[in-house]
Amino acid sequence: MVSYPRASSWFGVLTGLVGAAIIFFEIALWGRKRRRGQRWGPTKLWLWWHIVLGWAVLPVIVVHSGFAWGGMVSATTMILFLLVIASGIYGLLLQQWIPQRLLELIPDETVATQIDYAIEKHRTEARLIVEELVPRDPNDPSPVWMRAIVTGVPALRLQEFRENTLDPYLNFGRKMKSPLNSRQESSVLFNRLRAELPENAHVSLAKLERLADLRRQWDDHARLHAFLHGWLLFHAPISVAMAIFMVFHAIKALKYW
Amino acid sequence: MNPNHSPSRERVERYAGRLRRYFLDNPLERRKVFYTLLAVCSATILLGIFALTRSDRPYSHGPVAGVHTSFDANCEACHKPQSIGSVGVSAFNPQSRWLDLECQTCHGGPDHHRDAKWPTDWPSQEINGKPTDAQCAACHHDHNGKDFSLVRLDDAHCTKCHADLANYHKAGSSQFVMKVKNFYDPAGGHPEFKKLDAEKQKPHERGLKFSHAHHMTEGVGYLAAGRGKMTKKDLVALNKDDPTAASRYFGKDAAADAAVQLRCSSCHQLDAGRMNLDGKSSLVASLAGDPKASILPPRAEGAYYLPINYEAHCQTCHPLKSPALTSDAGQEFPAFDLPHRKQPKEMKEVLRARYSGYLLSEKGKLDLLNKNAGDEETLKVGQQLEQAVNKSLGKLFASVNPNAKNAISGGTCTECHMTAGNDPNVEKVTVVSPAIPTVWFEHSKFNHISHRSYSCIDCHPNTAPAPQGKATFDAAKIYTGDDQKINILGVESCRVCHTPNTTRDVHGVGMGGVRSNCTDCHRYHNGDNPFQGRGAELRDPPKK
Repeated sequence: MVSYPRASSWFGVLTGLVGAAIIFFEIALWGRKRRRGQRWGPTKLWLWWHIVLGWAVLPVIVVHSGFAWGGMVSATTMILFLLVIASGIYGLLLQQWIPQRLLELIPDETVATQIDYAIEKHRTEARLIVEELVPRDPNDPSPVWMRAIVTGVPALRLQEFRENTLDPYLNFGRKMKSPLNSRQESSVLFNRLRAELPENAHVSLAKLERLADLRRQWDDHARLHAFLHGWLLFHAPISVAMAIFMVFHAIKALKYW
Repeated sequence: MNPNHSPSRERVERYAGRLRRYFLDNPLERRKVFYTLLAVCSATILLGIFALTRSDRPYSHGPVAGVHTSFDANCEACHKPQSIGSVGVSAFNPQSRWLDLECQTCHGGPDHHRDAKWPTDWPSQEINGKPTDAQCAACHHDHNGKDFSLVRLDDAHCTKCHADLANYHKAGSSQFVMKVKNFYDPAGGHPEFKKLDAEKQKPHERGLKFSHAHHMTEGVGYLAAGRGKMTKKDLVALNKDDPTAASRYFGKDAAADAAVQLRCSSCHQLDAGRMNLDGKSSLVASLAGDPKASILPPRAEGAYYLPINYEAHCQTCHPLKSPALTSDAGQEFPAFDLPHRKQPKEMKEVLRARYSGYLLSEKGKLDLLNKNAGDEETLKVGQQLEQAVNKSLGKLFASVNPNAKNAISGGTCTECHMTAGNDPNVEKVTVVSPAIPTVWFEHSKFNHISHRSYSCIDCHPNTAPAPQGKATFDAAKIYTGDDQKINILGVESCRVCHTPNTTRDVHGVGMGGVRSNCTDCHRYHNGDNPFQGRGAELRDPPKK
């Protein structure tokens, strides 16, 4: 029988204290991110230490455990700890691969959390572009309508396209069925419109096509972003639950040292 | 614009201290917060349930051994709880606090070795209210599961000190070998059994003349001379009052001239059984009318053999009787049953009382009262009585020729017992009390019943019967030499099986692989008293 250092030995307690300190630091990263305005050092540096100490704490806690699961609370704590470490490693691997892939696939990437905000601007932009091309209400006293570039059936078709196809697509993206979901179908659709519209409207039409393309890219961006950060939905809550169990485990262990 | 950023980044809102947009308005972040709150609530509820059950089991770092099951949910049964205040005081010595156990509440008994210097990395503990270097948990590790043995320890616990005992013992105070690394390897340092080693210096004085080989021979007789075989007929004649005596050695259909054939079990009975309480031995007689099963202790596991007892194991063939004799004046004195365990001086009083009783009885045909005998005649009778007593006593304690028929039927003391002193006055001779320990190797434990697949003679040399028809014992040497040695093989015979290596026995059969840990044979805490088990006074917890 091999004798390992037990959690109750001075070495075991030391590793427990060191491990707990590291775990609290790891959890503090969340607070650091929510306090971006504070001068607590660069978040990038915090993340680097989060990763380095996250690796280091694994052997520390395993040694602290004495290679045994212990009772229900300590075993639960250990299982949650291992899940946190495993999910962290999974996230770290994703972070090594997806960002570069994202830059390659989405040349027009943006801040993912602001896609909806930016899309609202795009919808307004599309509406203004079309309004500039087609005649407005004849009763409108503004002389702008007199400068309408697209008139007649093409104007009606362009207006109908914006309202029933482009705008819903910009609003909901891939969530709805739309020919604009496909780059190929989108290209066919816009080429057909281009053939109907006068040449001086083609620049505006290209802007609309560009907006549809951005929506397509940002849908992909949102999907990759969810993939890139979705593991945190597991990693963060489990970390907090593990910390709660850890504190209870420590209090009880200290009482019966 | 940062050239590494896409132009689309210019379309996003600038950060203006509105964290809400970055966090709570973000669906991913919202879900993260929700799941975290869910995890916090789940953990709190679960721990709350643990707290409400008022059970310590969830906080235990492992199930305690089966023997401690009743304490599994109560830490304070063994551990002394620490307060917040005491954490700071002994924070630098956490293991000592952890091991500050209450074992002594239930477990008494002395330290392992009182004058040992314990390793400095083994903290001290209070035992029986006194500080000591010993600590229970240094060797007995609980919380390792129901089936984990607290007493079957890894050798490292022992060899930590015993591999170089000089460092852990006060100089000159140890009676043990200084360097023992293991048992199975002859080079590991484990010595020969102490009793066997000591016998090489000075043979053990048994105080009893006994030959196993002789007694195991058919008929227990000397074919070369004198005494013949002991038969069923002889046994019946020797035990006229006890018809069951012969039945111990013979079946119902045995012929009258069938010779007695003793087996090891004729005398050696495991402590799991009962000493022979049938028949009419004096032991049985002393228990007559008493509930024997209630008086005698409950039986043990069969590890050891019960001590040999004259009444139970010897008396059938060796009934103790006074010699039948006739005084110089012609007065006949028949043989009487005599008590065992009497010194010559005490036996003289017994003989005087028995002979006096006989002379005064009808059978003695000496009714002094009816004859109205005068002082002179009474004095003559008294002289005859004293003469008979001295004559009888002389025969009982004189050197005896074992070949003589009366050695068995007469039951003389010195046939079996050694005497101290060689005074012509028998009264000044002392019968030496037999010194045959029930357990020869007291510093270790042994379980006979675990070794029952072997025959007795495999480990006990010189106990086999003489080959058929060759029982020609030399009467002068029969009770000396090998018969007086300790008939137990040495440590090498154990190593044939008790080794992790594959070995071969004398027949070439593959052996080995039997466990050979220190605690398989040795026990501590008063282990030098093999029969002082748990519950004995020395192992009782201290009285509070």
